[in-house]
Amino acid sequence: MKKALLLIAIISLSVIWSCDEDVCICDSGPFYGELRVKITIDDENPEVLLTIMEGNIESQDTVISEYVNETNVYYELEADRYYSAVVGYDQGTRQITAIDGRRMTLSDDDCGCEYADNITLNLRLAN
Amino acid sequence: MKLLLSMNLMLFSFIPLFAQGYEDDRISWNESRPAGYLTIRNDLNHQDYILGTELGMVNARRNLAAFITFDARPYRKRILQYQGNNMFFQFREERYFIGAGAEYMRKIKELPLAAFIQLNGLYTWGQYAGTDRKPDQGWEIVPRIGVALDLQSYGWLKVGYTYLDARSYRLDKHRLYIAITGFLSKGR
Repeated sequence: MKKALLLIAIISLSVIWSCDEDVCICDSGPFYGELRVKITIDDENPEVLLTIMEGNIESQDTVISEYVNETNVYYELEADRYYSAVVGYDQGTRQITAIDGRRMTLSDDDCGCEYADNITLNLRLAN
Repeated sequence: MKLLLSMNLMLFSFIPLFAQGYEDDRISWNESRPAGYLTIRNDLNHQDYILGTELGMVNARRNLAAFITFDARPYRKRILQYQGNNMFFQFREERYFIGAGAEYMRKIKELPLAAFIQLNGLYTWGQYAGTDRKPDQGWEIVPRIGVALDLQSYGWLKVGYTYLDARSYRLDKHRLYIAITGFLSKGR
C-alpha cells in the first residue's frame, strides 16, 4: 500500500513539473499589440482623418487611413515596429496638424517568452 | 515620471527631521575637508517641468562647489509650432540637458541659511515623436540664485530662481528652482 501511494505521489509530481514546462513553451511570433490613439472630437472637428504610418511620417508608409469620430480608437498592429500617427484639426481660422509616434516594443514574461507591449499615441489638441 | 516624482516626495519628506535637530551651525558650515555631493533638482513653472541630477565637489569651507549635471523633461510635452499661413504643427517633444557649472554660497549669520549663486553651462537637445524634424538645440548658460537651508551635516535644501531657456517653442524661461543635496561623505 505504501509503495502504491509513493508511486502515485511520484507520478503526480512528475505531471506537475511537466505542466510547468508546458507553460513555458514560447510562441515564435509575429506578435501583435494594441495601438490606442487619443483624438479630440468637438463641434469644430466632429470627424477627423487619422493616418497611421510605419516609421516616421516622412516615410509615408501608410498602414491605416480613415475618418474617425471617436475620442479613442484601437488597432491591432505588428509589434517591434515604430508607428506614427497624424490628424488634422480646424481651430477657428487655424489649421493644426497633430503628430505623435512610438515604438511598439516586445517584452519578456517570467518564462522568457516574448509578448507585445500596448502603446498609446496622444493626438489630442493642447488646451 | 511617477517614480521620479515619488522619489522627490520621499526625499523632501525628511526635511523637517533635519530642521528640528539644528543646534550648532559650525558643525556643517565649517567642515574640514572637501566633500562630494549629489543633488536632485527641479526647474519648473506653470508650463513645464525639468527634473535633474547634479554631482559635485564642495570645498572645505562649504562655500564653493563645482559640478556636472544631467537634466531631462520626464514626459513628452505638447509643443504647438507655427508654420506660417495660420498653420501649426503639434509635436510631442522630449528634451535633455547635459552640463557643468560652479556655485558660490554665503552663509547668513545666526541662521541655518545661506544665499547661493550658480552658473550652469548646458548643452540641450531634443526630439519630436513621429517625425524626422528636430527641435532647437545648442549651448547656453543658466544662472540660478536663491537660498539654501543647511540640513546639518547631511546636505542642503535649496529654493530659488532659474532663468532656463529650454529651446522649446514659446515656453516661459522664468522658473522656480527646488533642489535637495546630500553629501556623499562626511568630509571631516
